[in-house]
This record gives sequence, C-alpha cells and structure tokens, in this order.
Amino acid sequence: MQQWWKKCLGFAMGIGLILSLMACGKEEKENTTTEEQKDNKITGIEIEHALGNTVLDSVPKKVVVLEFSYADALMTLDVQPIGIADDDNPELFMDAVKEKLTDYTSVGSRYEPNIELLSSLQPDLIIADLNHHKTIYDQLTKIAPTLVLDDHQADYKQMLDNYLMIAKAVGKDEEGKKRLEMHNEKIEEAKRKLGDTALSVVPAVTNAEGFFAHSDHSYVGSFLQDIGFEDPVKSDDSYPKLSLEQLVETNPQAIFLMPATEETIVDTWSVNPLWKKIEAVQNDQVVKVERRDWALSRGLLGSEKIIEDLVSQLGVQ
Amino acid sequence: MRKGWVILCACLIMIILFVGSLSVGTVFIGMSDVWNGLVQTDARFSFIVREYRLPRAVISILAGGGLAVSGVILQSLVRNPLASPDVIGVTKGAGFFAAVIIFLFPAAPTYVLPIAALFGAFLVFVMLLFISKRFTINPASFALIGIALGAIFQSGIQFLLVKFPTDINMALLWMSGSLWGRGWSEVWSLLPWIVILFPIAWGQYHKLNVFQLGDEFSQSLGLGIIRQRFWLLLLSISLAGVSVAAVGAIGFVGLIAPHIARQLVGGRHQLLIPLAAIVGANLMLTGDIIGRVVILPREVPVGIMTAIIGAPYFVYLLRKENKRRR
Amino acid sequence: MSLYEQRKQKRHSFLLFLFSSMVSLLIIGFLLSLKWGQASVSWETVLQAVSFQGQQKEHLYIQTLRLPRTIMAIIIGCHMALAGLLTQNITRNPIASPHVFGINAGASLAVVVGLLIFTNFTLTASIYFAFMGAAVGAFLVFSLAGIRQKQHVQLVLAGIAIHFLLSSLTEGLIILNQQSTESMLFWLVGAIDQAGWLEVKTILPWTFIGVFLFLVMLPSFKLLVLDDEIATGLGQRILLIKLIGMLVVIILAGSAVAICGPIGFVGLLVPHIARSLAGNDMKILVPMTALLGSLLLLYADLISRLIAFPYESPVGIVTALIGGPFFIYLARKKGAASL
Repeated sequence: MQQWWKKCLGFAMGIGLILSLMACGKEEKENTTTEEQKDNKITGIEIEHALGNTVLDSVPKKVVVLEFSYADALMTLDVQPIGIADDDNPELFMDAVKEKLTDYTSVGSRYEPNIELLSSLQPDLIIADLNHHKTIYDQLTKIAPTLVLDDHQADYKQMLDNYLMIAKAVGKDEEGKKRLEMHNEKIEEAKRKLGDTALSVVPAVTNAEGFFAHSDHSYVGSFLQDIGFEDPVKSDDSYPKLSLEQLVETNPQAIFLMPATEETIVDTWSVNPLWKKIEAVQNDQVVKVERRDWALSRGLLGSEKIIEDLVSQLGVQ
Repeated sequence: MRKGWVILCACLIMIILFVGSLSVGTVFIGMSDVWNGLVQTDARFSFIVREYRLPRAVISILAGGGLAVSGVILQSLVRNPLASPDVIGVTKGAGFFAAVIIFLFPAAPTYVLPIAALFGAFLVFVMLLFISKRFTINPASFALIGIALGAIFQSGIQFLLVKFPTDINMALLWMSGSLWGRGWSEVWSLLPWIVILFPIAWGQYHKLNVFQLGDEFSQSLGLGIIRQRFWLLLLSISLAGVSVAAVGAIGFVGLIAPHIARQLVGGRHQLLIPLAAIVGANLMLTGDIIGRVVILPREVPVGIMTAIIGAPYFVYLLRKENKRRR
Repeated sequence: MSLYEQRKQKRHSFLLFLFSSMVSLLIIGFLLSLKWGQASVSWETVLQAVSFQGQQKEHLYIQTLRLPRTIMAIIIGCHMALAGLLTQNITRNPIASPHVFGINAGASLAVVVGLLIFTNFTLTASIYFAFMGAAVGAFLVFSLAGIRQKQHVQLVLAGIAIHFLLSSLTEGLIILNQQSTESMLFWLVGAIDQAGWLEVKTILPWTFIGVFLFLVMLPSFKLLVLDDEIATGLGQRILLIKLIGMLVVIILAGSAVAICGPIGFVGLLVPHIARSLAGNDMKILVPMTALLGSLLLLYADLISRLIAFPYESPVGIVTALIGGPFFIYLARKKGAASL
C-alpha cells in the first residue's frame, strides 16, 4: 500500500511526457492549418520568407522593424517605420538613417522587443530576424503579418536578397530594384576609385576587453571580400577574438577599428612596441570608423558608407 | 485556525496579482477593458490580454509553484533550509543543455530548447544518483555534490558564452530566467506536469514530515529511507526541471518561497506545500509585473527581479532564524 | 639515533625532495608558458628574450605579453591558494573557499558596478571596489551561517546561496548593458590572458601586504586549528584573529578578482593537496600551498590556451573543470564520514 504513490509518480511522468509532446505536436498542426488558410486567399502581396508564407492584403502603411538593417532598407525606399527595436538608444543609427527618420516609437531591445508596445502600435507589417525572434513568431503573426528574414547571420549577398524581399513587402518592388541598381553602380564606381585592392584588411569591433575581428563569414568581412580585399584572419568563426600576438602574426596591411566603448583594448596595445610591428601601423593605415555605420546598419546605406570610408582612406589620391 | 486565514490571504493576494498582471504593463489597461479583452476576440486589447499577458501570468503561477514545491521537498530531504533546486545544480544542468542548443544548433526548432533543458535536469539527477552511491550517503553531502555538478555545468556554459560572443544576450536572458516571448504553447507543455506532480507532492506530506525529523526517526517508523529518498528527489527534480524548461533558469524562488511559507505556517507539510506554491507564484507574478515596467520600453528578466525582491527578505529571515537558534 | 630522530630525518628529506621537485616543475611550466603560444618561437629566442636581448617581434611577444601573463598566473595562483587555506582554517571547514563563499562574486559585482557608474575607472580603483565587494560578500555569508563550528554544510550552502545571488545581480547588470556585454563577461569567469606589466605592477604591492600580514600573523593563525575549549579559553582574542584573517583573505582574493576576474576552485583545491602532502604544520603548509597554487594556475593557463587553439579560453573554466570533480570527491569522502 505504501508503494502506490511511486507507481503513481511513474505513471504521472509518463502521462506528463506524452501530454507535453502532444502539446508540441498540436501546436505544429495549428501552424500548418493557418498557413494553408493563408495560401487560399492569394490577394495582394505574397512573400515566402524564412518561416513560411506571408500574405498582405494591401500595401502596409504601418511597419515595425526589429533590426537596424531593416530601418536602413526602409529609408532607401522612403517608407517611415512607426516602430523600431533600436536597443532604446537612437545614437546607434547611422547619420544617414537618423536624418531621414521622422517619428518612430522605440520598441526596446532587438533581442527582446517589447511585444505589448509593438501590438499597441497596431502595425500592419512586422519585419523580424530569424535568429532572435523565431520563438515569438506565433505571437507576432497574431499582431500583424510578419516577415522573418535571416539577417543577424547574413553576409553581404544575403543582405541584398533580404533588401529585395523588404522592398516587395512594402509594395515598392520596382523602386527597390532601381535603388539596388543604383547601389551596384555606386559600388562599381567606388571600386574604380579604390584601384588595386590586393590588400589584407582586418575590420574589428573593439571594447575594453577584446579585439573582435570580423572575418569573411561576417557581414562586414564578406563585403570587404566582395570588393576584392583579402581577409588575413581566415577563421571559421564570424567574429574571432584576437590577441595582440595573433594580430601581429596576421599582420594586416590595413585595420578598421569600430570601437564599441570609449576606452578600448587598443589603447593599451598601441603603447606596446609590438603594435609598431604591424604593417598597417607602419603604413599609417589604422583607421577608426563608426561601429553604427559599419557593423550595425548592415544595409544599402551602411555598405555605401563603408565603401565611402574605404575610398577616403585607401583610394588613389 | 490562523493558518487557514493565512492561506486564504495568500490566495487572495495571488488573485489580486493575477488580475494586476493582466492590467499593468507597458500599456495600462483598465478593468473593463481587461474583461472585454478576455471575453471577446476582437476587442481593442484582446491580443495583449489573451495572447500576451494571460499566458505569462499562468506560466508565472505554474512555474513559481513548481519551483517552490521542489524547494520544499529538497529542504526537508536534505534537512537544511538553504537547499534549493539552484543549489543542487538542476538549473545549471538544464541551463547548460539550453546553451548548447542556443549556441551550437541555432537553427533548431523552438520546441527543442525546453526538451533539452529537461534532459539536462534529469541528467543531473542521474549523475547525483551514481555519484552519491545511490543516495546511501548523508543527504547533506548530496547537496554538496549538487553544488559541484552545478559548478561544472556552469563552466561549460561560460565556455560557450565566451566562444560565441554574438549570441550572448540571448543566452544570458535564458540563463537568468525570462518570461519574454512565452505563450500558450509553453502553458500547455507545463500545465499537465504541474497538475499531475503537484497532488503527488502534496500526497507525500506525511513522509516529508517524518523525513524532516532525521534518518533515525524515519528508520524507526519503517520508511525505506534510501528508496524514499530516490523517489522524493526525482519528484523534486521533475518539478524544478519542467519549470526551468518553460521559463529558464529562474533562481531564488525555490529557495525563498518555502522559507516565507515556513515562517507563516510552520514546518508541517500538509499546509507548507500548498502555501509555498502560492507564495512562489506570488513572487513570480510580482517579479514579472515590476520587471516589465521599470525600464520601459525594455524589460528586466523576471529571474533577476525575483532575486532582487527576494534576497533582502531572505537575508532578514535567516538572520532572525540564527538569532533564535543562538 | 632514536627512532623518532630517524623518522624526522626521513621527513626532512621527503620535504626537501617535494619542494625541489615542485620548484623544478614551476620552472618547467614557466618556460613552457613562455615558449608556447599562437606564434611559434624557438628556445633560443625564449632565452634571449628572458635576458632582455633582441627586439624582434618574437622577443617582444615574450617580453611584453607572455612574461607578464606567466608572472600573473603565478601571483594569482598564490593569492587564491593562500586565501583558500586561510578561509578553511578560520571556518575550520574543509570545503570552504573564497569562491564558494561569495567573496569572489561580491568583488566581481562591486567592480562591475564601479565600471558602470564611473567613466574612467582605473585599475587601482577597481581593487578598492573589489575589497568592499569581497567584504560585503563575506559579511553576508557569515551573518547567514554564523561563525560557529560544526556547521560545515550550513556555511557552504549559505555561501553558495550568496554566490548565486551576487552573480545573478552581476548577470542582470550585464544584460541591461547590452552594448558592452562581451567585455563584461570577463566578470563572470576569470581570465589572465590580457594581463600586462601594468596589471602586474598594480597587484604586486597587495601581494606583499597580504603575504606579509599572513606571515606576521602566522603564530596566531596556528591557534585557529586548536580545539574549541582552548579557543574559548582565549576568549576575545580568537575573534580578533579571525577578523584579521578575514581581512587577509579579502586583500588576497579581492585584489586577485579585481585584476583577473573570479577564478574559482584554486582556493578550495590547493590547500587539500598541500595538506595531504605536507601535513598540518603551518610553517611548511603555507609555502607549500602558495607554491602549489602557482603551479596549478600556471598549468591551468597552459591548458586554457589549448582548448580552443589558436583562440584563448578563460582560465577560470579550466580551474572549474579541475575543481568540480575534486569537490565531488570531497563531498563523497565527507559524506561517508557523516559530516
């Protein structure tokens, strides 16, 4: 008789497991049915994105974006977002974006946007990131049609694809394509000004504790590679943390620093005699650039600013 | 008689907090709008009330209750008021496997994360089982073994954090326990466990009362101590594991709630278990309400809030207890 | 020669052997740590660099990066191990250490708070903050558990609860400061790979003060091992000794955390090994503990370079991986003896 509860416990665990599995299963089924329903009424704009299909009945007027790069994209399309997840810090926008932004509501952190605030804005389109927001996709779709793009881990090429998707979603397909052509022309022209690009370049975010190189797997790194520069770090990680020893061994010919804090590790490194052994330092090619322009904006405007910086620094005089 | 009133009051506070958590937030919603939002699907605030705040409040209650009851069982099992699910490494084990999913398999579907966390919690149980020679050793020592296991898993978590600095924010948020983004699917995967495990735990009050007295007592009363320990520990870890899987590694609720409850109704488990569960739920609800309004438009993770609210009270309680013992 | 003297002779030669082998291990580790890194360097260069010849970049790697780092490992190891030994003696608790006691976490939290409040927060300032934090952590733990004896588990559980509380507050601060998350992470797990000459210069005075105080108080600290009755017979004085002891612990552990973050488990692990090798005689135990602590951290640092080569991993992870299983072993042993 004393054993009854042990059996109960075993039984309960079994039931619990089955029920929670069922809950998961059921939820998936719900997802597919709603998607089917959406498929049935094809009117307006239909976009296939990272987590399924989204259909918009009309051109969205109130857009909320959850990444800086989406704000960048919307600015080039002359669409004003009503809400942006800007980490509650407008200083993080690049100037070109901030100038054009008129009035928006901050919906908080990019990692955990404030969903209540988001829903109170009553948007008719939400653009989210696959990596950060896939857990809240269900909730977001209940607020408004949601476009999920793989942005956080995207390289330059993927960003261009994402851009066209955003353009399509806000009903500015043609403008988007035209703007992209313009962008490509700008890049080509800048490349001509840059001339010979057989140069090893390390872009890096620096803060008080570390020097994080942006390798060719990252957005900035892939863009530089696309232009023709060489990535001397050759890492499988997107943002490997380099020690001074590694940096000297890598011996880049130019370094672009994106300081994230006021004091960075480079302050201590630059007084070390080793610092002068780096070719970039000897050539006076260590340049501070804005992190918000290079690593945060990640859009057409951002990459145009990157190449502008490159031309002014490395271009043929 | 007094104890009955205490429980009633706690329930009342829970209901007030529950309603409060439906109405307070980034957007303040009046009572009538809350009601409209609840009963209609197309009212102005129905999304916020029905899809956002209601599931969060329900999860707060379930997970807070689960952690608190888990803490009660552990404390009388180890016979030490300082034991808790965090201390014996369950949350760290769950956290490690969650971190593995976040960092190494970022493309995994969302439902994998809680399953991995649950797996981690049970892995800690199995490791405890083997290392402590199937619980034959002093119960205080398996608390220590739990601490060590926790430290090992913690170093694993830290390795992943350092190795993948870009996803740190996501992982840290999970580690500190957050209700952000939790919806009905979490409720449905947590509810059956709690509904089944809670009555079982309550049914054990007699054994827990005896256990509290010490091994000699339980032996003389004819309880097969080792086997009872095994099942009670499994029960406690299941409760903590499912809660952590749903809300992340929320600390302190499992430690503080039983204390507060014990102060109110004493150490008899027939009252202690339900009251601890209610207190745990209240702590979580309070932490959540405060956490989502203090630094708008951002949100303080509920795990941090419960630590901030609960810790000073905890220190006060323990000091009082120490003085009494002296 | 009597049997007693023979035994004494034997013990002397054993201790001599022990110390000399440990010193040679330390020298080997020292040289390995200089030679081994991301860039390959020949032995010849190592020797040239140590004698401060040569200005090639290989020489500079050793002189400006690897040498201060290696010295730092030795200093920090010594700090943590001595702090651990003293904590265990004060509390008479074999499972105590600054890490399990919330001292490390308290120091960490204080430094993070300082970093967030003040814009130009110097290294020296961070040391003072760390002292305050460590003191608060220690005070909380003792007020929770009481300084009474035979409370081993109580003390450790109180310590770990405070540790969790303080580090979850640190975590919270880090989360709320999204822009510098990566750089703050350092304050959750200690690392020495960034230590340069400046850090060495900053911590050295505290090493001297801590070790000096320790040695001066050594005869008094011996009283801590005595029995309860004798200790109470001495009355007020034992409390004073304990307080001074805690101060030394805070100086040693606090300054180490301020420079290198919370490196755990060295303080727990080392005194045990030292005790099993050298017995309970404080005159031998203290240098043995210091030496072993340095050895442990030196080799742990070497391992930490291996884990994710060519990238660095924090040394705190390695010490936790070594220390965790050892802690389990202790808990089991004490469990069998019914603590």
